Amino acid sequence: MKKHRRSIMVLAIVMVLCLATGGMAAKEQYVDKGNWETIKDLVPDVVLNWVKTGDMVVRYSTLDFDAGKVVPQWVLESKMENIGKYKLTENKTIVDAATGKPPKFIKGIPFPNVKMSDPDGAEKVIWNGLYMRNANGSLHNELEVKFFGRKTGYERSIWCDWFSKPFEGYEPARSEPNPNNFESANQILIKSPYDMAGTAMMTWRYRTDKENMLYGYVPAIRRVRRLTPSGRSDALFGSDYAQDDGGYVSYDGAVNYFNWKIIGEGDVLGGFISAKPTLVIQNKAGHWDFNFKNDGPIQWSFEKKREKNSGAPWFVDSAVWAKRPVWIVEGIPKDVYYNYGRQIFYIDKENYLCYWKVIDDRTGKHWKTLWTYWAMGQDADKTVSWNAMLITTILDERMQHATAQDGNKNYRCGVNLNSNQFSLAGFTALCK
Amino acid sequence: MKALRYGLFIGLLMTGVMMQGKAFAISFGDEGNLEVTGKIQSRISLRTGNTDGFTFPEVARGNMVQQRNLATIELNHVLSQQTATMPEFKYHVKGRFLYEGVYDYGPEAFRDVREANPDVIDDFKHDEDLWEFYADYLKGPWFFRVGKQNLSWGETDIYQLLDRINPLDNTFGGAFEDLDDRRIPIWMARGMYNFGNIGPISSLTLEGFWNPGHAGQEVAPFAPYGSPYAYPSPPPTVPVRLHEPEDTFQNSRAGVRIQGVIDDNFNVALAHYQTIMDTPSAVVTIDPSVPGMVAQDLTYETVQVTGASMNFYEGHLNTVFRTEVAWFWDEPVFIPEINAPALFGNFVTGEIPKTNVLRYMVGFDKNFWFRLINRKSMINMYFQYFAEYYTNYDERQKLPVNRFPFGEFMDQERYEDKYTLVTSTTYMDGTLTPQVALVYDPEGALMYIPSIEKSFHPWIFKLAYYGITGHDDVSVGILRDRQQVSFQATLVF
Repeated sequence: MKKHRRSIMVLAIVMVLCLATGGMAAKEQYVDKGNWETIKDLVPDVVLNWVKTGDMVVRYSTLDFDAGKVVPQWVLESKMENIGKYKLTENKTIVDAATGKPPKFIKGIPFPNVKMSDPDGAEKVIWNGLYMRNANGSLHNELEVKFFGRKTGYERSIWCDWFSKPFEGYEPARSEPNPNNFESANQILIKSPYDMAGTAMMTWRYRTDKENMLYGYVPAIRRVRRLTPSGRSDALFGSDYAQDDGGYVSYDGAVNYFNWKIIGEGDVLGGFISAKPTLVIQNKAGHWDFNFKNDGPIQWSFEKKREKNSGAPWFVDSAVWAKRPVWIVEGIPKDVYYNYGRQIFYIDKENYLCYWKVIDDRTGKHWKTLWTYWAMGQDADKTVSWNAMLITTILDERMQHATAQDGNKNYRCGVNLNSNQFSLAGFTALCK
Repeated sequence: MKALRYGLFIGLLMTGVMMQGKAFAISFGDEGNLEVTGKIQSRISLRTGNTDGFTFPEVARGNMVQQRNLATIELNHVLSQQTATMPEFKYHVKGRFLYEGVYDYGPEAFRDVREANPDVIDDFKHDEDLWEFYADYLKGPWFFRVGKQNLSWGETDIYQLLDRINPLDNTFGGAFEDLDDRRIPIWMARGMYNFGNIGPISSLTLEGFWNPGHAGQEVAPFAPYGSPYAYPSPPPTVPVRLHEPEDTFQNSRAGVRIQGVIDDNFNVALAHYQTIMDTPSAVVTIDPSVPGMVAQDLTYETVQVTGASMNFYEGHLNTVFRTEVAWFWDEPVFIPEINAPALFGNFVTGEIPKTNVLRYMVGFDKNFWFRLINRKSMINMYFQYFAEYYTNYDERQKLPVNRFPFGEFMDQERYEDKYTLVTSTTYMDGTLTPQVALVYDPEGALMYIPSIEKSFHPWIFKLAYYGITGHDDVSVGILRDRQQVSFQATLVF
């Protein structure tokens, strides 16, 4: 009898182990042209075509964390505190629901309970996405903008410094003086190659529906120069990006410049740099650095480090793709001169980060696709969380050319940036 | 010395090739970072018209008039990054190596020019210099930059109003060279204080600079007779003596500017500064110590400039408007009867007459889509209207440039104006940039510069044509026989 019990125990242990390892095996799989049906309905149609043709190999996985909860603390709090607190005006600006006046400060995201039936639902999703960048605090990233071609593979890089300072969404910004009524201010400074080095751009975004204020510095004229905000769909530094393609929601313009509509909801595969939270470490100055040592090396397809499970040069082979619930939002520009036509955004319902953007031209034909590999940061104690838009890629389907913004060299959230840096004087000081 | 120069240039070239277009960067994390970047550039220009008028030496169509080799290496070191509580320290060092080869292996006519005037030509045909060297300190609203640097104020391109702080080098390329490549960095201390918001003005900033005059003033070099970019003139018949400013505090370049943003749209600046004229003022001097007792003295005069600039965005037109106005106090002018009385039989030393001059610019910048020719990038257009007005105009006032063939001085009108237009776009992921630049003088002269630039990282190639048409006694038309085509290759790292 004792022997029988032992046998049953051994059998049970073996079964548990088998289940466990079987579970691990089922956790991650590569999806390519041989088994593309696995992710049918989980990616936009254009992306499924890439998989079918062998351009893209998907490392399909599950996340070891809840991506809806690994967000800054004030975002989690705002999901409770901001329910019903704000509404949108006719011009799609945010006002206090009770008073109808602009709020003094909005913590986290303004609209935590978006409903599909809400006629302003799409605008609220976009506002939430815009506030997610703000909620991640002042940023200082070193960006490498990589250029790729179908035939040429990796072509070249531009290295930049990106600084962003929010005056909204980020709880520590509540006490920051904001006499100019900014929503955020940001700067980009090109450091290399030499012919572009020193070129800089600064944007002031206002909390009202006022036009953004743009300044540029071109070393050839050695002067800070006012730029027109009308060129937001113009190619940025000649890349496949337009200025409006930026931001945590893959849109960086004013909400009221587009007609928005929620056209669906469901699950899609979202890109992540790792299935685990990326370690964030507070440095001596109090800033939070993303540390990728536990995530393994980032492997690009163009590097050809893998014999298989690799696709077109503009993909990151080491990234994982996990199922996430999304709002599918359509945006159509009001400006008849805007270079894009309809855009479809796939935005996470829980954390409002954008995974995919499918862009049509003005005649309604598909033109570009944009996707992001997110790094969801968490400290060792799992008490502090940050989100990094670590690598974003945009592919021009017609030209078969792509541009990627890669921030993995240095991504820093919660930086204690000085407001003076974002004044005219501060911008001048940043320049040569 | 020559071998050392070639060695340095070849060394830099090899460094550029080996670095394969990549900047050298070391990051020290929170402690800052250090970067080394640079470029190596070679440019050849061929004249496309035959020499005409007073241009000397005569150079036939198709001959080389420029073979400029330029290398710059730049080091940027951020010692500490600015935060809300920490100041920022950084410094910048830029070395420049220049060699103009046209006098050594160009057409015989230019080699003869060098042989006739070796000291002067050799002095400006090559240069190895600590070109820029400054340190920055930022803390809160304060910013200081001390060292050898460039500073540019105002809103104008191509022509300068409030942007006359640094001298310009006109010895190579002249008007055919980009303005910034001609700026000569000078030693100065510069400071800014951001007051923040005061009343309706935001980002209110006070800025000042001082380039000490008692420590040796840098001035715009004067292109000597016979150099390819000197203004056409008959050969000098009397000795020409160039006088640099005396080392005195009064000869400092210095100025203040206050700027801010009104109504979150109007960028307004008021400025006053003292600078040194880039073109020396000429007088004919009676001097018994020189052969013939007559000499031409060229002196660099100081001038005070007061001005304002403004820009704003107009949403309905999607256009940024720019304007600038500058009042030049007691600017030296040229009245032959006063500057050179000896030419009129009055054998006394001339004087430099002065008058106030009003200059202004109105312009706009517009980006627009023209999808027929470019579906991906906008067309950029920069338009400017310039005007100058001599308040105490003297009917005898002239330009110190001689009209061909009799040598009389060209007219200086009381009111003169010009239009400039620059249009460009980009193709092929920003690697191909066609551009057209125009300068038009309604008195009857046009300069047109079509160019195309293509980069094959890390190489950049540029082809440009510099065409001039119109009267040969009207502003840009004076150089009408200097039309040229230029090809430039640059290696960046």
